[in-house]
Amino acid sequence: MRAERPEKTAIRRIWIDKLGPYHHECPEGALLYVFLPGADGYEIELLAQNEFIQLTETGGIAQTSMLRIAAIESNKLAVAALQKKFPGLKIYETNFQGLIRGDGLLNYPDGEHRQCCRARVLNLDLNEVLSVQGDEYSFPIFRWIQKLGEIHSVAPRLDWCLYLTLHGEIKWNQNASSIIRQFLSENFNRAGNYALQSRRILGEEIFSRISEDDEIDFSGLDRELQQKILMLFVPKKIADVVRAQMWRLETEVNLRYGQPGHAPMVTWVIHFKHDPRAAATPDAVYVQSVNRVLEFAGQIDANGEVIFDGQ
Amino acid sequence: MAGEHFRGEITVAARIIDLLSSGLYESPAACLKELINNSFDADASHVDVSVKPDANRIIIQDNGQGMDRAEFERHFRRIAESHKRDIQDVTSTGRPKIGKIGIGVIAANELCEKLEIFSTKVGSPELLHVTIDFEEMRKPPELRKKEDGGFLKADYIGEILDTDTASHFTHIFLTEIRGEARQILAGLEAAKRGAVPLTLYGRSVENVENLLRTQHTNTWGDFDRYSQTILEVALNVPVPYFDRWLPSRLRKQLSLLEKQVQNLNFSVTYDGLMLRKPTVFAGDEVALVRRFSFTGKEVSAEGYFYAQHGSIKPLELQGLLTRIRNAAVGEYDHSFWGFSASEYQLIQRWVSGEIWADDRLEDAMNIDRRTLRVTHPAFVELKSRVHEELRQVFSDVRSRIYEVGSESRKDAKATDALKVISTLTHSEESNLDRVTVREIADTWKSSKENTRLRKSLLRNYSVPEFYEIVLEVAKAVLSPKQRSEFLRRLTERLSRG
Repeated sequence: MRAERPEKTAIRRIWIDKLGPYHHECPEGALLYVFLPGADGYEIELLAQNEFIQLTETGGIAQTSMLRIAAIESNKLAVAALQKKFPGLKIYETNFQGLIRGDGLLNYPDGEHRQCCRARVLNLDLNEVLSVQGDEYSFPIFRWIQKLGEIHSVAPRLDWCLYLTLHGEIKWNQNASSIIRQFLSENFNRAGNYALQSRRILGEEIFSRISEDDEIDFSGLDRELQQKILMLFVPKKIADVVRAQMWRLETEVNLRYGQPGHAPMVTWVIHFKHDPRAAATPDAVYVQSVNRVLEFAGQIDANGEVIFDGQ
Repeated sequence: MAGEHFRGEITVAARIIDLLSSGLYESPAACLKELINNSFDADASHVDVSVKPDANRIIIQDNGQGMDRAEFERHFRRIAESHKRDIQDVTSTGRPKIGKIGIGVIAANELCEKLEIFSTKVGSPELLHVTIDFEEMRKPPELRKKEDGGFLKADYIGEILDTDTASHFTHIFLTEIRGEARQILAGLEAAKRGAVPLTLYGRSVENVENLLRTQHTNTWGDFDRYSQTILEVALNVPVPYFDRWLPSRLRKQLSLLEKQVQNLNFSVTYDGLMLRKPTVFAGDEVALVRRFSFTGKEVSAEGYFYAQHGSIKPLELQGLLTRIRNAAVGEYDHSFWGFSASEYQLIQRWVSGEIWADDRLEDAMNIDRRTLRVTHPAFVELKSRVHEELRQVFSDVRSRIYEVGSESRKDAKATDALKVISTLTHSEESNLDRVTVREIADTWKSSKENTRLRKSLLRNYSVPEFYEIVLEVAKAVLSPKQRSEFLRRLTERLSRG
């Protein structure tokens, strides 16, 4: 197995660490963890080491753990490599877009794929930029998450967790940039804690430009600022798209990483907790979610150490 | 060329059509072994088979020489006219090719709706990717028939992708596995009689060997269907024997044979389990092995017969297994190719044999690779010789195992009887003088060596015979009054049972 960069190792450690509470709550036979492992399947060994799953004498997934985890992999040769390395691993041979039945909100997965989408923890380690669809201010990834929120809210409702990792580069058109700036600016006014932390993370200049309706080409910002914009925008937008589903979001991890010479990345761990208050006061729940977006914002350095912003 | 796409249709000669119908392969294992043997023919040293967790997709990955587009088309466009042995009937590393008419891929049709092949040859930057859809193949013959008399079997779609030049492999993906086959392959069937069947999934090779050797399994039916499939596959394909498949004193006699299999340098893992021939004999102190070697006019063969005291378990190993070009022909034939059922009836279940026949017997093999044509001269000649040998084996078993076994059982009985006598006399030691106790012990002690005495010791007496002996002794040592009392009490005791 080739060695991973320390940043990625640190993230895997975080993923495993955050899995514990869901593992304890998740009944036997229910799907705990869905992930995109790639051909190497690094996490599987970590899952076993931390006793979330059992391996057999031959290194395969034990019968008792087969329903516990599922992998998503669209590349056939990677599927073959993964299946060879971890016999018994359930692998859905598709990409996440296929699993969730596309980018639209009309088609939802059914059968086995629907069960897969109801896992307690879904790890979308996407390795792709947050792209806008066409000229619209429309992000397929947010619609996938909206669908996931919907699927988990069907009775019996399940609290769940999303691990999301994206490229930290911004490649938005002017129209999308403009709308996003307005979206951020609006929330600066509505969620005081969020505004305060945003100012601290972005710095006065960019914060003011966003607040003062100054047109900004986000894709022209420096690498770290682009990452920071995503740290502000992504979890907040997720809170927005699922607000009608009565979820309160707790963003427990909001980190940027990627040293020069490597791709800039941003990663989040977001808990989706059912909040009955949302039926009567959806806005209050939304603002609470937004105020927590940057609570644990920071970066992972070249040694894999987490340094929180403002420390 | 990378980026190039191509498509076409697979045609087969009319003579193969009947064989395409169901029944050619009696179990999913029979289909899998065809595909694994194809990897053997491609000079692979290792094959990985992935079936679990649910047999929804089966992957067979080998590190063989791979194939390019031209070879694919040559092999698959007219399946019954295989070119597998056109140039040589051995592989480049000298292995005798198992496949003959190239129907291995048809085996996949029995298992699944779709087959995908990824293959590349060493030195080539091209990765062949072909998808075969079997749905067309299952249409009625009249819809498949073409003007030239051939039959449209299935469409395939291919493309050439990029790869590195160092790689050489073939990966086969079977998807949309057909209902019953999937149930069997995944071991999803309900446990029989409420008992949870044993499974081989996840066990190490050592663990499996121990499990098979302990003799606690009467039949492979004690395992789930998933494991039965593994056992059936392992029995057929040219994988090595377990490290301790025979007791070491017997293994020495077959070391050459064992080495021949080992030298094929072919291994298979099935969901992580390294396959070995499931031929494992627990053995005992009287078990024997007899080598078989025959050079005839029509055919030559070699092999062995193993025999032990008592029925061989699992019972799937009873009988005779034939191998041609290192692959098994069906399973063990419990009738030993029609050996007289009335001769050595009991002992037949104590014997297991394997025969490696030369290529001339291949002509006698039916296309299902399960059975041999009983009228074929090679089979007739070999059968006759095997039966001669079997008579000798059974005779050996009777004299060296059955009768020796009978003697050893008598020995054991005599030892037990001596123990009882010793216990009884010692318990009466306070009433009997020591000299008498010693005399009794000494009298019977030599029964271990003295067969006449042992016979006396183990003899069963009827009550009248017993009276006769007792009366004779009582008359000699007791007074008439004592005799009367003694006999009254003896009768009372005997009548109580």
